[in-house]
Amino acid sequence: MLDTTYKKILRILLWTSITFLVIYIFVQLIDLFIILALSVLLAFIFAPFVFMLEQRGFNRLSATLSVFGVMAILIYLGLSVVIPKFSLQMNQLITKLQQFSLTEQLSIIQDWLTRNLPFGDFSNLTTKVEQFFSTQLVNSFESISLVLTSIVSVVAFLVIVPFITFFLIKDSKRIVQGVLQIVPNVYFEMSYWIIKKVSVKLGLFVRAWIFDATFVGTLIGLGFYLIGTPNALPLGVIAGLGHLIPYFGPIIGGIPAIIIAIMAGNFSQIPLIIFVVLGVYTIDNGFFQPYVFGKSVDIHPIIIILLIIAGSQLFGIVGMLLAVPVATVIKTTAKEIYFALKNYKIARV
Amino acid sequence: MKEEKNKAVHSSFWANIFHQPDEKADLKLSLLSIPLFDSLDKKDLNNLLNITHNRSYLAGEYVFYQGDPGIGLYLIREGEVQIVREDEGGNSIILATLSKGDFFGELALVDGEKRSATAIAITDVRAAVIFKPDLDEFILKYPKKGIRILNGISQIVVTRLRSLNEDFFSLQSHKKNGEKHGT
Repeated sequence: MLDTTYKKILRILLWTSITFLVIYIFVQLIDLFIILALSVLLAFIFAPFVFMLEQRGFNRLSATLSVFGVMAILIYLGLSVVIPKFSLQMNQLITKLQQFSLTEQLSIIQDWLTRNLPFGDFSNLTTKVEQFFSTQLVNSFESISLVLTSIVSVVAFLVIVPFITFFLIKDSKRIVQGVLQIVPNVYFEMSYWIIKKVSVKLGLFVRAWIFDATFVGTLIGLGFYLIGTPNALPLGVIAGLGHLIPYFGPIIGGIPAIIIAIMAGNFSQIPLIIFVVLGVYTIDNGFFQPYVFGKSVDIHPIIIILLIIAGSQLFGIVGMLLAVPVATVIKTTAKEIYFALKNYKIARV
Repeated sequence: MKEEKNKAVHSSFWANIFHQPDEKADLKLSLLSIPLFDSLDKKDLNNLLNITHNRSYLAGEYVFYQGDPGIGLYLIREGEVQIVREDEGGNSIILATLSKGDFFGELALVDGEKRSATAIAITDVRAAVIFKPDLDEFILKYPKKGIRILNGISQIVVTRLRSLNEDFFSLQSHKKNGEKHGT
Protein backbone atom coordinates (compact mmCIF):
# COMPACT_ATOMS: atom_id res chain seq x y z
CA MET A 1 0.00 0.00 0.00
CA LEU A 2 2.78 2.41 1.05
CA ASP A 3 4.72 1.37 -1.98
CA THR A 4 1.80 2.29 -4.30
CA THR A 5 1.37 5.72 -2.63
CA TYR A 6 5.11 6.35 -2.93
CA LYS A 7 4.98 5.39 -6.62
CA LYS A 8 1.97 7.67 -7.16
CA ILE A 9 3.71 10.64 -5.54
CA LEU A 10 6.83 9.93 -7.56
CA ARG A 11 4.80 9.82 -10.77
CA ILE A 12 3.04 13.13 -9.96
CA LEU A 13 6.42 14.75 -9.18
CA LEU A 14 7.86 13.39 -12.41
CA TRP A 15 4.97 14.71 -14.52
CA THR A 16 5.04 18.11 -12.77
CA SER A 17 8.76 18.49 -13.45
CA ILE A 18 8.33 17.37 -17.07
CA THR A 19 5.53 19.97 -17.50
CA PHE A 20 7.71 22.74 -16.03
CA LEU A 21 10.65 21.67 -18.17
CA VAL A 22 8.46 21.76 -21.32
CA ILE A 23 7.15 25.25 -20.39
CA TYR A 24 10.72 26.45 -19.70
CA ILE A 25 11.98 25.11 -23.04
CA PHE A 26 8.94 26.63 -24.78
CA VAL A 27 9.65 30.09 -23.30
CA GLN A 28 13.35 29.82 -24.14
CA LEU A 29 12.69 28.76 -27.73
CA ILE A 30 9.69 31.01 -28.33
CA ASP A 31 11.05 32.29 -31.69
CA LEU A 32 11.29 28.74 -32.94
CA PHE A 33 7.70 28.05 -31.93
CA ILE A 34 6.46 31.24 -33.61
CA ILE A 35 8.25 30.20 -36.83
CA LEU A 36 6.77 26.70 -36.54
CA ALA A 37 3.27 28.04 -35.83
CA LEU A 38 3.38 30.36 -38.85
CA SER A 39 4.66 27.53 -41.07
CA VAL A 40 1.90 25.21 -39.87
CA LEU A 41 -0.72 27.93 -40.56
CA LEU A 42 0.64 28.45 -44.09
CA ALA A 43 0.73 24.69 -44.68
CA PHE A 44 -2.95 24.48 -43.72
CA ILE A 45 -3.79 27.29 -46.14
CA PHE A 46 -1.99 25.62 -49.08
CA ALA A 47 -3.00 22.01 -48.30
CA PRO A 48 -6.37 22.03 -50.18
CA PHE A 49 -4.69 23.28 -53.38
CA VAL A 50 -2.09 20.50 -53.19
CA PHE A 51 -4.91 17.98 -52.62
CA MET A 52 -6.78 19.32 -55.68
CA LEU A 53 -3.69 18.94 -57.88
CA GLU A 54 -3.13 15.40 -56.58
CA GLN A 55 -6.68 14.58 -57.63
CA ARG A 56 -5.70 15.69 -61.13
CA GLY A 57 -2.85 13.22 -61.30
CA PHE A 58 0.09 15.23 -59.88
CA ASN A 59 2.32 13.48 -57.40
CA ARG A 60 2.87 15.07 -53.99
CA LEU A 61 6.18 16.73 -54.85
CA SER A 62 5.06 18.23 -58.15
CA ALA A 63 1.75 19.36 -56.61
CA THR A 64 3.59 21.12 -53.75
CA LEU A 65 6.10 22.67 -56.15
CA SER A 66 3.29 23.89 -58.42
CA VAL A 67 1.44 25.55 -55.52
CA PHE A 68 4.67 27.25 -54.42
CA GLY A 69 5.32 28.30 -58.02
CA VAL A 70 1.86 29.85 -58.36
CA MET A 71 2.35 31.64 -55.02
CA ALA A 72 5.70 33.00 -56.22
CA ILE A 73 4.08 34.30 -59.42
CA LEU A 74 1.24 35.88 -57.44
CA ILE A 75 3.70 37.55 -55.06
CA TYR A 76 5.75 38.78 -58.02
CA LEU A 77 2.63 40.19 -59.73
CA GLY A 78 1.53 41.69 -56.43
CA LEU A 79 4.90 43.35 -55.99
CA SER A 80 5.14 44.64 -59.56
CA VAL A 81 1.53 45.65 -60.29
CA VAL A 82 -0.44 46.20 -57.10
CA ILE A 83 2.35 47.19 -54.71
CA PRO A 84 3.49 50.37 -56.60
CA LYS A 85 -0.10 51.59 -56.64
CA PHE A 86 -0.55 50.47 -53.07
CA SER A 87 2.64 52.14 -51.87
CA LEU A 88 1.77 55.35 -53.69
CA GLN A 89 -1.61 55.45 -51.98
CA MET A 90 -0.02 54.36 -48.70
CA ASN A 91 2.51 57.22 -48.96
CA GLN A 92 -0.31 59.65 -49.58
CA LEU A 93 -2.10 58.19 -46.60
CA ILE A 94 0.96 58.50 -44.37
CA THR A 95 1.60 62.10 -45.52
CA LYS A 96 -2.00 62.97 -44.79
CA LEU A 97 -1.82 61.32 -41.39
CA GLN A 98 1.38 63.21 -40.62
CA GLN A 99 -0.33 66.49 -41.47
CA PHE A 100 -3.00 65.58 -38.98
CA SER A 101 -2.06 67.48 -35.85
CA LEU A 102 -3.42 65.70 -32.84
CA THR A 103 -2.50 68.65 -30.60
CA GLU A 104 -4.41 71.09 -32.77
CA GLN A 105 -7.54 68.92 -32.90
CA LEU A 106 -7.32 68.25 -29.18
CA SER A 107 -7.03 71.92 -28.29
CA ILE A 108 -10.12 72.64 -30.42
CA ILE A 109 -12.01 69.92 -28.50
CA GLN A 110 -10.58 71.24 -25.20
CA ASP A 111 -11.72 74.80 -25.97
CA TRP A 112 -15.18 73.57 -26.95
CA LEU A 113 -15.48 71.51 -23.75
CA THR A 114 -14.29 74.39 -21.54
CA ARG A 115 -16.79 76.76 -23.16
CA ASN A 116 -19.76 74.42 -23.03
CA LEU A 117 -19.10 72.52 -19.82
CA PRO A 118 -17.80 75.17 -17.41
CA PHE A 119 -18.01 72.94 -14.33
CA GLY A 120 -15.37 70.51 -15.63
CA ASP A 121 -11.60 70.92 -15.58
CA PHE A 122 -10.26 70.20 -19.08
CA SER A 123 -7.07 72.20 -18.90
CA ASN A 124 -4.81 69.16 -18.99
CA LEU A 125 -6.82 67.17 -21.54
CA THR A 126 -4.47 67.80 -24.49
CA THR A 127 -1.33 66.87 -22.57
CA LYS A 128 -2.93 63.78 -21.03
CA VAL A 129 -4.30 62.41 -24.31
CA GLU A 130 -1.05 63.21 -26.12
CA GLN A 131 0.93 61.44 -23.42
CA PHE A 132 -1.38 58.42 -23.65
CA PHE A 133 -1.04 58.19 -27.43
CA SER A 134 2.71 58.72 -27.50
CA THR A 135 3.35 56.03 -24.88
CA GLN A 136 0.97 53.61 -26.60
CA LEU A 137 2.51 54.27 -30.00
CA VAL A 138 6.06 53.97 -28.68
CA ASN A 139 5.09 50.74 -26.91
CA SER A 140 3.53 49.19 -29.99
CA PHE A 141 6.43 50.22 -32.23
CA GLU A 142 8.84 48.85 -29.66
CA SER A 143 6.96 45.55 -29.58
CA ILE A 144 6.98 45.33 -33.38
CA SER A 145 10.70 45.99 -33.58
CA LEU A 146 11.30 43.52 -30.74
CA VAL A 147 9.44 40.81 -32.66
CA LEU A 148 11.26 41.59 -35.89
CA THR A 149 14.73 41.67 -34.37
CA SER A 150 14.22 38.73 -32.06
CA ILE A 151 13.34 36.32 -34.86
CA VAL A 152 16.87 35.70 -36.05
CA SER A 153 16.47 38.23 -38.85
CA VAL A 154 13.66 39.14 -41.21
CA VAL A 155 15.45 37.61 -44.20
CA ALA A 156 16.16 34.36 -42.38
CA PHE A 157 12.54 34.35 -41.25
CA LEU A 158 11.30 34.86 -44.81
CA VAL A 159 13.43 31.94 -45.96
CA ILE A 160 12.90 29.58 -43.02
CA VAL A 161 9.07 29.80 -42.93
CA PRO A 162 8.51 28.89 -46.62
CA PHE A 163 11.19 26.18 -46.32
CA ILE A 164 9.47 24.52 -43.34
CA THR A 165 6.04 25.03 -44.94
CA PHE A 166 7.21 23.25 -48.10
CA PHE A 167 8.31 20.16 -46.20
CA LEU A 168 5.29 20.21 -43.91
CA ILE A 169 3.07 19.96 -47.00
CA LYS A 170 5.21 17.53 -48.99
CA ASP A 171 5.87 15.11 -46.14
CA SER A 172 2.72 15.54 -44.04
CA LYS A 173 1.89 11.82 -44.20
CA ARG A 174 5.45 10.82 -43.34
CA ILE A 175 5.51 13.27 -40.41
CA VAL A 176 2.30 11.72 -39.00
CA GLN A 177 3.77 8.23 -39.58
CA GLY A 178 6.94 9.27 -37.72
CA VAL A 179 5.02 10.69 -34.79
CA LEU A 180 2.79 7.61 -34.51
CA GLN A 181 5.82 5.35 -34.72
CA ILE A 182 7.03 6.49 -31.30
CA VAL A 183 3.59 6.09 -29.69
CA PRO A 184 3.11 2.94 -27.54
CA ASN A 185 0.58 0.38 -28.86
CA VAL A 186 -2.07 1.19 -26.26
CA TYR A 187 -2.26 4.81 -27.41
CA PHE A 188 -1.73 4.13 -31.12
CA GLU A 189 -5.28 4.38 -32.55
CA MET A 190 -6.18 7.05 -30.02
CA SER A 191 -3.19 9.24 -30.98
CA TYR A 192 -4.02 8.94 -34.66
CA TRP A 193 -7.61 9.95 -33.87
CA ILE A 194 -6.46 13.03 -31.92
CA ILE A 195 -3.94 14.16 -34.59
CA LYS A 196 -6.53 13.73 -37.34
CA LYS A 197 -9.30 15.59 -35.52
CA VAL A 198 -7.04 18.48 -34.45
CA SER A 199 -5.56 18.90 -37.93
CA VAL A 200 -8.98 18.82 -39.60
CA LYS A 201 -10.41 21.41 -37.18
CA LEU A 202 -7.35 23.67 -37.36
CA GLY A 203 -7.34 23.45 -41.16
CA LEU A 204 -10.99 24.47 -41.32
CA PHE A 205 -10.38 27.34 -38.93
CA VAL A 206 -7.27 28.71 -40.65
CA ARG A 207 -8.87 28.66 -44.10
CA ALA A 208 -12.06 30.28 -42.79
CA TRP A 209 -9.95 32.90 -40.97
CA ILE A 210 -8.00 33.94 -44.09
CA PHE A 211 -11.08 33.77 -46.31
CA ASP A 212 -13.06 35.94 -43.89
CA ALA A 213 -10.29 38.58 -43.65
CA THR A 214 -10.07 38.71 -47.46
CA PHE A 215 -13.85 39.08 -47.70
CA VAL A 216 -13.94 41.96 -45.19
CA GLY A 217 -10.89 43.69 -46.75
CA THR A 218 -12.36 43.47 -50.25
CA LEU A 219 -15.83 44.68 -49.24
CA ILE A 220 -14.50 47.60 -47.17
CA GLY A 221 -12.07 48.61 -49.94
CA LEU A 222 -14.90 48.42 -52.48
CA GLY A 223 -17.30 50.29 -50.18
CA PHE A 224 -14.79 53.10 -49.58
CA TYR A 225 -14.10 53.31 -53.32
CA LEU A 226 -17.83 53.59 -54.08
CA ILE A 227 -18.43 56.37 -51.54
CA GLY A 228 -15.40 58.19 -52.91
CA THR A 229 -12.98 57.87 -49.98
CA PRO A 230 -9.45 58.56 -51.20
CA ASN A 231 -6.88 55.74 -50.81
CA ALA A 232 -9.52 53.02 -50.76
CA LEU A 233 -7.02 50.27 -51.71
CA PRO A 234 -4.64 50.58 -48.72
CA LEU A 235 -7.60 51.19 -46.40
CA GLY A 236 -9.19 47.93 -47.59
CA VAL A 237 -5.90 46.07 -47.07
CA ILE A 238 -5.53 47.57 -43.58
CA ALA A 239 -9.12 46.56 -42.72
CA GLY A 240 -8.51 43.02 -44.02
CA LEU A 241 -5.28 42.64 -42.06
CA GLY A 242 -6.93 44.15 -39.00
CA HIS A 243 -9.72 41.62 -39.28
CA LEU A 244 -7.20 38.80 -38.72
CA ILE A 245 -7.44 39.88 -35.06
CA PRO A 246 -11.06 39.11 -34.11
CA TYR A 247 -13.20 42.10 -33.04
CA PHE A 248 -10.40 44.60 -33.81
CA GLY A 249 -11.23 44.85 -37.50
CA PRO A 250 -13.84 47.65 -37.35
CA ILE A 251 -11.52 49.89 -35.31
CA ILE A 252 -8.43 49.20 -37.43
CA GLY A 253 -10.42 49.52 -40.66
CA GLY A 254 -12.61 52.52 -39.85
CA ILE A 255 -10.42 54.93 -37.87
CA PRO A 256 -7.83 55.75 -40.61
CA ALA A 257 -10.69 56.43 -43.08
CA ILE A 258 -12.41 58.78 -40.61
CA ILE A 259 -9.13 60.62 -39.90
CA ILE A 260 -8.63 61.13 -43.66
CA ALA A 261 -12.16 62.51 -43.99
CA ILE A 262 -11.62 64.89 -41.04
CA MET A 263 -8.34 66.12 -42.53
CA ALA A 264 -9.92 66.72 -45.90
CA GLY A 265 -12.62 68.68 -44.10
CA ASN A 266 -15.08 66.28 -45.68
CA PHE A 267 -17.23 65.76 -42.60
CA SER A 268 -20.23 64.63 -44.66
CA GLN A 269 -18.33 61.48 -45.51
CA ILE A 270 -17.95 60.33 -41.91
CA PRO A 271 -21.50 58.91 -41.63
CA LEU A 272 -20.98 57.13 -44.98
CA ILE A 273 -17.69 55.60 -43.74
CA ILE A 274 -19.37 54.46 -40.53
CA PHE A 275 -22.25 53.08 -42.61
CA VAL A 276 -19.86 51.10 -44.87
CA VAL A 277 -17.86 49.72 -41.92
CA LEU A 278 -20.96 48.81 -39.91
CA GLY A 279 -22.68 47.37 -43.00
CA VAL A 280 -19.71 45.16 -43.88
CA TYR A 281 -19.34 43.92 -40.32
CA THR A 282 -23.07 43.21 -40.04
CA ILE A 283 -22.96 41.16 -43.26
CA ASP A 284 -19.78 39.47 -42.07
CA ASN A 285 -20.94 38.67 -38.53
CA GLY A 286 -24.52 37.85 -39.43
CA PHE A 287 -24.17 35.84 -42.63
CA PHE A 288 -20.63 35.20 -43.73
CA GLN A 289 -18.86 34.20 -40.50
CA PRO A 290 -21.43 31.62 -39.34
CA TYR A 291 -21.26 30.09 -42.81
CA VAL A 292 -17.48 29.86 -43.20
CA PHE A 293 -16.51 29.20 -39.59
CA GLY A 294 -19.39 26.85 -38.76
CA LYS A 295 -18.46 25.24 -35.48
CA SER A 296 -14.71 25.36 -36.07
CA VAL A 297 -14.14 27.90 -33.26
CA ASP A 298 -16.62 27.41 -30.52
CA ILE A 299 -15.01 29.85 -28.10
CA HIS A 300 -17.00 32.54 -26.27
CA PRO A 301 -16.32 36.14 -27.42
CA ILE A 302 -15.24 37.17 -23.88
CA ILE A 303 -12.62 34.41 -23.85
CA ILE A 304 -11.45 35.47 -27.34
CA ILE A 305 -10.99 39.11 -26.21
CA LEU A 306 -9.09 37.99 -23.08
CA LEU A 307 -6.90 35.68 -25.17
CA ILE A 308 -6.06 38.50 -27.60
CA ILE A 309 -5.13 40.83 -24.73
CA ALA A 310 -2.99 38.10 -23.14
CA GLY A 311 -1.38 37.37 -26.52
CA SER A 312 -0.60 41.04 -27.09
CA GLN A 313 0.93 41.45 -23.61
CA LEU A 314 3.09 38.35 -23.97
CA PHE A 315 4.20 38.45 -27.62
CA GLY A 316 2.89 41.72 -29.11
CA ILE A 317 1.23 41.67 -32.52
CA VAL A 318 2.28 38.08 -33.31
CA GLY A 319 0.67 37.07 -30.02
CA MET A 320 -2.57 38.83 -30.97
CA LEU A 321 -2.61 37.04 -34.32
CA LEU A 322 -1.80 33.58 -32.96
CA ALA A 323 -3.96 33.76 -29.80
CA VAL A 324 -7.15 32.32 -31.31
CA PRO A 325 -5.56 29.62 -33.54
CA VAL A 326 -3.43 28.42 -30.59
CA ALA A 327 -6.50 28.40 -28.32
CA THR A 328 -8.37 26.42 -30.99
CA VAL A 329 -5.59 23.81 -31.06
CA ILE A 330 -5.47 23.55 -27.26
CA LYS A 331 -9.26 23.32 -26.93
CA THR A 332 -9.69 20.70 -29.68
CA THR A 333 -6.75 18.63 -28.38
CA ALA A 334 -8.10 18.64 -24.81
CA LYS A 335 -11.59 17.71 -26.04
CA GLU A 336 -10.33 14.86 -28.23
CA ILE A 337 -7.98 13.50 -25.53
CA TYR A 338 -10.93 13.44 -23.13
CA PHE A 339 -13.12 11.69 -25.73
CA ALA A 340 -10.39 9.16 -26.54
CA LEU A 341 -9.57 8.33 -22.91
CA LYS A 342 -13.28 7.91 -22.19
CA ASN A 343 -13.96 5.65 -25.19
CA TYR A 344 -10.76 3.64 -25.77
CA LYS A 345 -10.78 0.84 -23.24
CA ILE A 346 -7.32 -0.22 -24.42
CA ALA A 347 -5.81 3.08 -23.20
CA ARG A 348 -7.25 2.56 -19.73
CA VAL A 349 -6.23 -1.07 -19.14
CA MET B 1 -10.71 -4.49 -14.00
CA LYS B 2 -7.84 -4.73 -11.54
CA GLU B 3 -7.29 -8.32 -12.54
CA GLU B 4 -7.20 -7.29 -16.17
CA LYS B 5 -4.68 -4.60 -15.36
CA ASN B 6 -2.37 -7.15 -13.82
CA LYS B 7 -2.76 -9.45 -16.80
CA ALA B 8 -2.36 -6.84 -19.55
CA VAL B 9 0.73 -7.28 -21.69
CA HIS B 10 2.26 -4.12 -23.13
CA SER B 11 5.07 -3.79 -25.64
CA SER B 12 7.99 -1.74 -24.37
CA PHE B 13 8.07 1.93 -25.29
CA TRP B 14 10.94 1.27 -27.71
CA ALA B 15 9.28 -1.66 -29.54
CA ASN B 16 7.91 0.38 -32.43
CA ILE B 17 10.64 3.02 -32.53
CA PHE B 18 13.52 0.69 -33.28
CA HIS B 19 11.99 -1.72 -35.70
CA GLN B 20 13.46 -1.53 -39.17
CA PRO B 21 11.97 1.30 -41.23
CA ASP B 22 10.23 -1.52 -42.85
CA GLU B 23 11.33 -3.57 -45.73
CA LYS B 24 9.18 -1.79 -48.29
CA ALA B 25 9.12 -4.71 -50.68
CA ASP B 26 7.80 -7.04 -47.99
CA LEU B 27 5.11 -4.52 -47.05
CA LYS B 28 4.15 -4.09 -50.69
CA LEU B 29 3.75 -7.85 -51.05
CA SER B 30 1.62 -7.96 -47.91
CA LEU B 31 -0.67 -5.26 -49.27
CA LEU B 32 -0.91 -6.94 -52.66
CA SER B 33 -1.93 -10.18 -50.95
CA ILE B 34 -5.15 -8.49 -49.75
CA PRO B 35 -7.89 -8.76 -52.38
CA LEU B 36 -8.78 -5.13 -51.59
CA PHE B 37 -5.50 -3.83 -52.95
CA ASP B 38 -4.42 -6.41 -55.52
CA SER B 39 -5.61 -4.22 -58.44
CA LEU B 40 -3.34 -1.29 -57.58
CA ASP B 41 -0.36 -0.40 -59.76
CA LYS B 42 3.13 0.51 -58.50
CA LYS B 43 2.45 4.25 -58.14
CA ASP B 44 -0.80 3.80 -56.25
CA LEU B 45 0.78 1.16 -54.07
CA ASN B 46 3.54 3.62 -53.14
CA ASN B 47 0.88 6.18 -52.25
CA LEU B 48 -0.85 3.55 -50.14
CA LEU B 49 2.44 2.80 -48.36
CA ASN B 50 2.52 6.45 -47.25
CA ILE B 51 -0.63 5.89 -45.23
CA THR B 52 0.34 2.46 -43.88
CA HIS B 53 1.65 2.20 -40.31
CA ASN B 54 3.84 -0.62 -39.00
CA ARG B 55 3.19 -2.03 -35.54
CA SER B 56 4.71 -4.79 -33.42
CA TYR B 57 2.79 -6.62 -30.70
CA LEU B 58 3.97 -9.07 -28.04
CA ALA B 59 2.27 -12.44 -27.49
CA GLY B 60 -0.74 -11.80 -25.24
CA GLU B 61 -0.95 -8.08 -26.06
CA TYR B 62 -4.36 -6.62 -26.98
CA VAL B 63 -4.55 -5.01 -30.41
CA PHE B 64 -7.95 -3.47 -29.67
CA TYR B 65 -10.91 -4.08 -27.38
CA GLN B 66 -14.51 -4.83 -28.22
CA GLY B 67 -16.43 -1.52 -27.93
CA ASP B 68 -13.44 0.72 -28.76
CA PRO B 69 -14.02 3.22 -31.60
CA GLY B 70 -12.94 1.46 -34.79
CA ILE B 71 -10.98 3.37 -37.40
CA GLY B 72 -8.23 0.98 -38.56
CA LEU B 73 -7.80 -2.08 -40.76
CA TYR B 74 -5.05 -4.47 -39.56
CA LEU B 75 -3.09 -6.72 -41.89
CA ILE B 76 -1.03 -9.49 -40.27
CA ARG B 77 2.49 -9.66 -41.69
CA GLU B 78 3.81 -12.12 -39.14
CA GLY B 79 2.32 -14.05 -36.20
CA GLU B 80 -1.20 -14.98 -35.11
CA VAL B 81 -4.13 -12.96 -33.82
CA GLN B 82 -7.25 -14.24 -32.11
CA ILE B 83 -10.60 -12.50 -32.56
CA VAL B 84 -12.70 -12.90 -29.44
CA ARG B 85 -16.23 -11.71 -28.73
CA GLU B 86 -17.59 -11.31 -25.25
CA ASP B 87 -21.32 -11.72 -24.55
CA GLU B 88 -23.31 -9.71 -22.01
CA GLY B 89 -22.60 -12.33 -19.34
CA GLY B 90 -18.86 -11.81 -19.82
CA ASN B 91 -18.29 -15.18 -21.57
CA SER B 92 -15.68 -15.05 -24.32
CA ILE B 93 -16.20 -16.87 -27.61
CA ILE B 94 -13.32 -17.25 -30.05
CA LEU B 95 -14.57 -16.18 -33.47
CA ALA B 96 -11.39 -16.77 -35.47
CA THR B 97 -7.65 -17.27 -35.32
CA LEU B 98 -5.90 -15.32 -38.04
CA SER B 99 -2.36 -15.64 -39.37
CA LYS B 100 0.05 -14.11 -41.90
CA GLY B 101 -1.76 -12.49 -44.84
CA ASP B 102 -5.11 -12.31 -43.03
CA PHE B 103 -6.68 -9.04 -42.11
CA PHE B 104 -9.17 -7.87 -39.52
CA GLY B 105 -10.99 -4.71 -38.48
CA GLU B 106 -12.24 -4.20 -42.04
CA LEU B 107 -15.73 -3.30 -40.80
CA ALA B 108 -14.18 -0.08 -39.46
CA LEU B 109 -13.39 0.91 -43.05
CA VAL B 110 -17.08 0.86 -43.87
CA ASP B 111 -18.97 2.31 -40.94
CA GLY B 112 -16.34 3.55 -38.45
CA GLU B 113 -18.55 2.13 -35.69
CA LYS B 114 -17.34 0.56 -32.45
CA ARG B 115 -15.29 -2.66 -32.59
CA SER B 116 -17.56 -5.70 -32.59
CA ALA B 117 -14.89 -7.99 -31.11
CA THR B 118 -11.53 -7.94 -29.32
CA ALA B 119 -8.26 -8.73 -31.12
CA ILE B 120 -5.41 -10.33 -29.14
CA ALA B 121 -1.95 -11.26 -30.41
CA ILE B 122 -1.36 -14.90 -29.48
CA THR B 123 2.22 -14.92 -30.74
CA ASP B 124 4.56 -11.99 -31.40
CA VAL B 125 2.87 -10.12 -34.24
CA ARG B 126 3.92 -7.61 -36.87
CA ALA B 127 1.02 -5.81 -38.50
CA ALA B 128 0.36 -3.11 -41.09
CA VAL B 129 -2.40 -0.67 -40.24
CA ILE B 130 -4.49 1.57 -42.53
CA PHE B 131 -6.90 4.10 -41.04
CA LYS B 132 -10.34 4.92 -42.43
CA PRO B 133 -9.82 8.73 -42.81
CA ASP B 134 -6.58 8.12 -44.77
CA LEU B 135 -8.23 5.51 -46.98
CA ASP B 136 -11.21 7.84 -47.57
CA GLU B 137 -8.74 10.55 -48.65
CA PHE B 138 -6.95 8.07 -50.91
CA ILE B 139 -10.27 7.12 -52.55
CA LEU B 140 -11.15 10.79 -53.08
CA LYS B 141 -7.76 11.47 -54.66
CA TYR B 142 -7.78 8.44 -56.93
CA PRO B 143 -11.48 7.76 -57.60
CA LYS B 144 -10.89 5.01 -60.21
CA LYS B 145 -8.77 2.97 -57.81
CA GLY B 146 -11.14 3.99 -55.05
CA ILE B 147 -14.08 2.34 -56.77
CA ARG B 148 -12.10 -0.91 -56.97
CA ILE B 149 -11.18 -0.72 -53.30
CA LEU B 150 -14.79 0.01 -52.29
CA ASN B 151 -15.88 -2.84 -54.54
CA GLY B 152 -13.39 -5.11 -52.78
CA ILE B 153 -14.71 -4.05 -49.38
CA SER B 154 -18.31 -4.78 -50.43
CA GLN B 155 -17.20 -8.19 -51.79
CA ILE B 156 -15.75 -9.08 -48.39
CA VAL B 157 -18.82 -7.85 -46.56
CA VAL B 158 -21.09 -9.79 -48.95
CA THR B 159 -19.04 -13.01 -48.55
CA ARG B 160 -19.18 -12.71 -44.78
CA LEU B 161 -22.90 -11.91 -44.88
CA ARG B 162 -23.59 -15.00 -47.02
CA SER B 163 -21.62 -17.21 -44.66
CA LEU B 164 -23.50 -15.63 -41.74
CA ASN B 165 -26.81 -16.38 -43.49
CA GLU B 166 -25.73 -20.01 -43.92
CA ASP B 167 -24.76 -20.23 -40.25
CA PHE B 168 -28.04 -18.65 -39.20
CA PHE B 169 -30.00 -20.99 -41.46
CA SER B 170 -28.31 -24.13 -40.14
CA LEU B 171 -28.73 -22.89 -36.57
CA GLN B 172 -32.46 -22.35 -37.14
CA SER B 173 -32.76 -25.82 -38.75
CA HIS B 174 -31.01 -27.43 -35.79
CA LYS B 175 -33.29 -25.56 -33.44
CA LYS B 176 -36.42 -26.65 -35.34
CA ASN B 177 -35.25 -30.27 -35.55
CA GLY B 178 -34.45 -30.18 -31.83
CA GLU B 179 -37.93 -28.82 -31.06
CA LYS B 180 -39.53 -31.58 -33.26
CA HIS B 181 -37.56 -34.31 -31.52
CA GLY B 182 -38.37 -32.78 -28.17
CA THR B 183 -42.16 -32.90 -28.74
